[in-house]
Amino acid sequence: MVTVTQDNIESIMSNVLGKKLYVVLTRGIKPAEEIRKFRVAHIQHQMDLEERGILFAAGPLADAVSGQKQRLGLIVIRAENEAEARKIADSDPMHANGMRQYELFQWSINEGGFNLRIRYSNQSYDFD
Amino acid sequence: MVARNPPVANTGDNIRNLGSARMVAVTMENVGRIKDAMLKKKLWVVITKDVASPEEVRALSAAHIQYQISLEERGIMFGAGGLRKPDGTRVAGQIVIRAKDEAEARAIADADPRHKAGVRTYELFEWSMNEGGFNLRIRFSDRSYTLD
Repeated sequence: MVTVTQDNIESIMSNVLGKKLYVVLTRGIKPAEEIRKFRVAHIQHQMDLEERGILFAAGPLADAVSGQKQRLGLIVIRAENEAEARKIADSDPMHANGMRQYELFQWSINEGGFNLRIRYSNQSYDFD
Repeated sequence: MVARNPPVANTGDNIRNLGSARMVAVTMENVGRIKDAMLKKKLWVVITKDVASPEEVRALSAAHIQYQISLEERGIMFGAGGLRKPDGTRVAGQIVIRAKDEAEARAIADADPRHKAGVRTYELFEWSMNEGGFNLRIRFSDRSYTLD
């Protein structure tokens, strides 16, 4: 680990990953029963985005204390620009049908990492 | 809908092998099973916002980056960086960390020099990562990698 100082911080920050992604923060705005009707189409859409290599990561956000779902979803996607990101988000059946509304942000991943362990013998993996 | 392989009927057995079966057609009947088989990786999302002047926030840049790198080194940091509006205006930082519970997540966030000094405040959420993925290419010859 390096020691970060006022003198080297610029060179350290110029060397971080700086991976540009888009964050779609989506919020349910219709009753749960109505939203549920689009669940199948939404999951199909998510899997389609995953298959096309667009979806970086997605899932629900819950309140940290209660663990209760907050009708909030965090969807992280790969897109060239804002227009493309919006097109992808708009095509989500939840958004196209007015069940959920979203806010769009650019996210730059600078720090972080993961452990990936792949086993050939049973074709399984651990992602930590 | 682009599917590289024809959709296959979804059973408990083949759901594990979606990597080879690829896209399945999601129906009312199989959606429960598909959701159950998802990664459901539990992470904690820290959305952090400046509550002091830019100079005061900047004064703690080195300490903050040192802390971020130490979290990465300890395997706690999943991914972190600035959130901007599409027009480029910086609105917050998004820090995604590994922690076993809320208390641990809060202790990690509280120890960020910027939170400790009160120049930023944060909101904490639990995130369940269900869908997504990446391509990782590792080159042995020059020890480089590409994460897409």
